[in-house]
Amino acid sequence: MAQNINPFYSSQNAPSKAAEEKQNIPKDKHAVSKRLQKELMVLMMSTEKGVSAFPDGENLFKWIGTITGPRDTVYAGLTYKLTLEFPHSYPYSAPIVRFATPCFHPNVDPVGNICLDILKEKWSALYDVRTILLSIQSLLSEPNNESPLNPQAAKLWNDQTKYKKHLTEEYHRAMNGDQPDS
Amino acid sequence: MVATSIALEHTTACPFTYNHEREATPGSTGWPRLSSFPFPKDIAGWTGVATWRWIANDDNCGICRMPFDASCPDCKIPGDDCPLVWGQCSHCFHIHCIMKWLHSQQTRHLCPMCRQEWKFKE
Repeated sequence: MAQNINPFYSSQNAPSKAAEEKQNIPKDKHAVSKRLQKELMVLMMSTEKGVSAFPDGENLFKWIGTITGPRDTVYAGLTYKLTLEFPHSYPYSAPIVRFATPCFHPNVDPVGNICLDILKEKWSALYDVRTILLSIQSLLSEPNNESPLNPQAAKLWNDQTKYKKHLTEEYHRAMNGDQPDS
Repeated sequence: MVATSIALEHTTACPFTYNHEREATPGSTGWPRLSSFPFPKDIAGWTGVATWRWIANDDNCGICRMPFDASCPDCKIPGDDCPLVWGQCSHCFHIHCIMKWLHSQQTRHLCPMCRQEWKFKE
């Protein structure tokens, strides 16, 4: 591509790199693994507490993430596992992120789907596993109660004492089947 | 347009290779004879070595996470074949990475860094 042509307009006619890539999935997949490997390196080197992630077995396109509830919130002390599935178009499209541990939260549905703008229409190619998990972690203590996936949780949110009681009960029931103390 | 926004830094070094077998006979080899050398030798050949780097406000492309001085994951050769571009918002990416991002957006073309409308800096 000549450098004195605005690439944005010239690419409308000329076959663009992106269009070529669409037909060349193996090459694309290689680029995605390359980026995921870089992210894994950064995550493993970081000393960040509260979020971690690692590929689920041999498959680099499926990860298991872990977040802990933010301190001084009703979620403090609770640990949640999430699954992240990366499309071959990552990072140009968002991964599918779900709670694997059942999560009682206004923006999480019973099967673990999360309603979070940055995983949908506000996705940017600059987000990565780390920033996604950090966003979900802060979503825990700052729910968007305007458009809840779990209306019961949204209603209960205003009463933090009751909310915490219900949350803790549900969490322990899901983790160990009715043994709140273990 | 893109070229004006690209800044390359060149440093050049030229290590000389001497032909020790052949004693200097001025003009016999066709190579220049440098009088400043400590002993008279003809230059039998030389190799130019140059280094370059992009002058950007970051080390890595935020989209592919590769260093700017390396190519994007789809290219093999860095440099002019895989150049950087700047937006008017001053953010910078491999051209192939930002083009893929803009093509992947259905409605408006926004900078992945600051969400302002992406316009190429001219």
